[in-house]
Amino acid sequence: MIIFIFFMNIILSEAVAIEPNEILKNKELEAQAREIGKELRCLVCQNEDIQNSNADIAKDLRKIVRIKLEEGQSKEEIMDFIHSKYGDFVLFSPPLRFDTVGLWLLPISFFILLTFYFFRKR
Amino acid sequence: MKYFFFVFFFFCIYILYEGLQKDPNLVPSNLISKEIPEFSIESLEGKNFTNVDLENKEVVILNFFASWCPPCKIEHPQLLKLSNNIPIFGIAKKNKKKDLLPWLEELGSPYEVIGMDHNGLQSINWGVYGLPETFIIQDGLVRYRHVGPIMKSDLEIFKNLTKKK
Amino acid sequence: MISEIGFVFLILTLIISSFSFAQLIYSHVNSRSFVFSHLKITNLIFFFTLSSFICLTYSFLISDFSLNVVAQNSNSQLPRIYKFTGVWGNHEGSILLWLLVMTFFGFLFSKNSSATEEFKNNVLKIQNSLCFLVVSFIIFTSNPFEKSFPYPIEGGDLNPLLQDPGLAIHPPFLYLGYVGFSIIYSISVAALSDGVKKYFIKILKPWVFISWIFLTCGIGLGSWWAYYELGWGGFWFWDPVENASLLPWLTASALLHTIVVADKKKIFINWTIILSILTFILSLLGTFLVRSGVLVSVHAFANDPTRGVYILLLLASISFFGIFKYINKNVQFGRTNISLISREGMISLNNIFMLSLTFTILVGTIYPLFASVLFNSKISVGAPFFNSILMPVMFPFIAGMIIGPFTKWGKDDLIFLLNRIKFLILCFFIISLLVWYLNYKTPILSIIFIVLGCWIIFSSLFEVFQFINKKLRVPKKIFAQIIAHIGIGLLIIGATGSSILKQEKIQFQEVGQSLKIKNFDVEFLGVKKIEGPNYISQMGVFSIKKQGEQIKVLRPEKRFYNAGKQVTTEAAIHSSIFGDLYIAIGDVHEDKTKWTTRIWFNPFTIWIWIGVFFLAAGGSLSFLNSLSRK
Repeated sequence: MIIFIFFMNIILSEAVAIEPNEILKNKELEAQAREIGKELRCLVCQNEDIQNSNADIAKDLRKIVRIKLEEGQSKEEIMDFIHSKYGDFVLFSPPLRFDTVGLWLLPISFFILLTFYFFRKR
Repeated sequence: MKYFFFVFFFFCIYILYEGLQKDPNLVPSNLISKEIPEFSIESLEGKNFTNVDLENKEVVILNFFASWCPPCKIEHPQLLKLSNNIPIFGIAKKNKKKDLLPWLEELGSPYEVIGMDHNGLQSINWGVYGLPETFIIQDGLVRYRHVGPIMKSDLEIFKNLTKKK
Repeated sequence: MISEIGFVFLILTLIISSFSFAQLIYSHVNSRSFVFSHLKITNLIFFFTLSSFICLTYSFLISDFSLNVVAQNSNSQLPRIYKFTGVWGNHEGSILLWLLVMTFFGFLFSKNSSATEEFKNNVLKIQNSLCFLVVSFIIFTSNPFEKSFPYPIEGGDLNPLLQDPGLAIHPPFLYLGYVGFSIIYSISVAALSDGVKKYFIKILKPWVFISWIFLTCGIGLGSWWAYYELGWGGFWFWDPVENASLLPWLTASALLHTIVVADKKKIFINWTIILSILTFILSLLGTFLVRSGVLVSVHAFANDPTRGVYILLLLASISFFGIFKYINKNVQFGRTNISLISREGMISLNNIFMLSLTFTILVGTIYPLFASVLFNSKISVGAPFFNSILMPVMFPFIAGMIIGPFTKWGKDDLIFLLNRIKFLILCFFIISLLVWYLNYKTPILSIIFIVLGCWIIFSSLFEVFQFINKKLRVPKKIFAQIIAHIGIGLLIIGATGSSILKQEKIQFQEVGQSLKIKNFDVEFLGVKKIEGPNYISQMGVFSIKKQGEQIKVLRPEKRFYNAGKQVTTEAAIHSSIFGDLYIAIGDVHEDKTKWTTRIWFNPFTIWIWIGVFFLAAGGSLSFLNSLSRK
């Protein structure tokens, strides 16, 4: 029951997005920050990206993304940094590896099988 | 073909069943068995607190906490107990000195040094996603991470892991 | 007292439906089955479940806190309407609603069908057995009539997010869709043991349409709610729970197309059965994912592992039964070669893409689970993955959707086909240039999608034009298809506008300060404190001006619910056909004169909802059509 209430609080607190004082003056960098924000998961929230979450960790991650952008780092560098700290779970599109390759391979093989099934000649 | 299909079917059901036993909210640390990240922050006394301070010791505990975090109060007695045997370092996240000092006064301090993580960026450096979180560091490598308050029942794990060689 | 009666009704449902279940099992062991009427059982369990549901509703309305569910999900301050909708705002009550809908579909089938008595009996035997499984799940793991002891004087609170008309009516629609697929499953499985007689397609058809319409409305209402309630204007998040509802919708949409061919040409009959069974399996899988807590999702129910195991058991046995029946069917389906450029080919293409999409979303949704069990790795699959998969699939899919209706049955020729639609192709060029000319500054992706949306709408209109040109009335069946396809076109335009072309202004706004967004001037007039029945609200007042003239006053709110100490945002929206002006109010700034305001202009968003309406309207026409042709 306590756990349940705990989650309810998270659910409700996430309903707000980015705060005005976080937004960068430089529009190009801000757009880049948004792009990165959409690909990172807020770790304590229930399946939300950091862009639209009000959780503490999401705020911190938004901040560090912006700081690093202003330092002149590229999107890849920033993603790599956060990935190295938080692991695969933080990335919304997982890296291509032997344990994730099924994610792409399965749908493609399914598509080929299905096409074959429909259009095979008898 | 038929049998293959049924084997596959039961395989899927089995996976779903196994999945039921797992907690989806548990996130493992990515720093385990890696060298601790480099850092240099101001300590509570105004000195420098760096990764070298942690690397110099054989086994240390690094605890992320804050005076505004209620569960941190819950784990405090356990930390005090652990501090008798193992050096404990703390990093206070987004904590003002004027809030932290009375809190430590009231509860007692298990910490050798407390680093001040004013903007929360040091926590990100360590892959911390909620408070409190506790790391066991051995010879400069991250050995173990505990998420959430250390309860009495967790003490055994900590004692085993921090046994000196 | 009433609650005890409700529980007795549930027990009665269990006992009576067990007869059907027993016979279903027995008839497999022993070919000589005892004869009794499953129709009567269907009627009885429907009335018992209905009575039980009414008892639970009554307990909610009088705030009977001696019941656990009432105590936890309702309180005496709650407005009456939310006491009522609170019945399905929790796990136990919503599963009872599930059962009610399931028995209701059985009941409808027993009353209104052109099937023979024998076939009806077979279908209802299966349907009642499904009800038996669900009612046993309710009684053993999630009994809504469980007493709380000692019982509290005041209840907890219904989740404030659920205290909203959009979300309150969305679950019944969703369940009518989800659970409606149970009757499709029953009909198909019954047809398999019946030797798949030709008439079964005609019996199946209306049920496919009606369930699909409800599911479409349910999903539409859900995303509409997310749009105005979550406070930042998103409407689809690729959340596991949303995916779970999308999966059966996609297979049901594939089924809609297939069943038309099956009815007309007597091909794809096996495929129709596969899709029917698959659709219900996916509905159950969705329920499993939502209720068991195996996945991390925004829409978390309070969960309990024993429930998860039980639902998994249900899922396994029902899917196994369906698949087993299909594999051991004693009929052979003849099949013909299909050429790509023909109506059959295009419908096949539709099925291939719909099913591949379903499979991809399914894999994306449950892969994290598989990876954690098989490789012990913890990964996330979210919106970026799904969007990247959706993009390449969209283009051939839309192309098929545009060409499909113009192809002939049997065999068609590409050259003749292009010749038939050469005028349409010319229109496409003009539209593309026009859209590009009007929006050349916007991102290229948005232009592509809006052009595609327009193409779909124009090709549908062109179909109408062809009939008028030949001085023919548009047949009802084709008219339904045209409306539904226009709906998809509108949906694409709306979704593109409100995601890619969205404009935002997020700032600390001073009282009296005016901001310009698109061609609106948004003046912040201040914040009022409002007291609702069970909440206190901070209501921002904004005057919306266009060319100096006030056109509307918008009042977004931030609500604090007393009972649960929870906060919700209520956005205020000014809709027009060109886009929505969307305002949400945040917290007061430290200096007390400024407030965080979030203002968006979401182009074409209204077309998403209109598109969903078109889809539902097209479905309804087909439904009426399938009824009247009997």
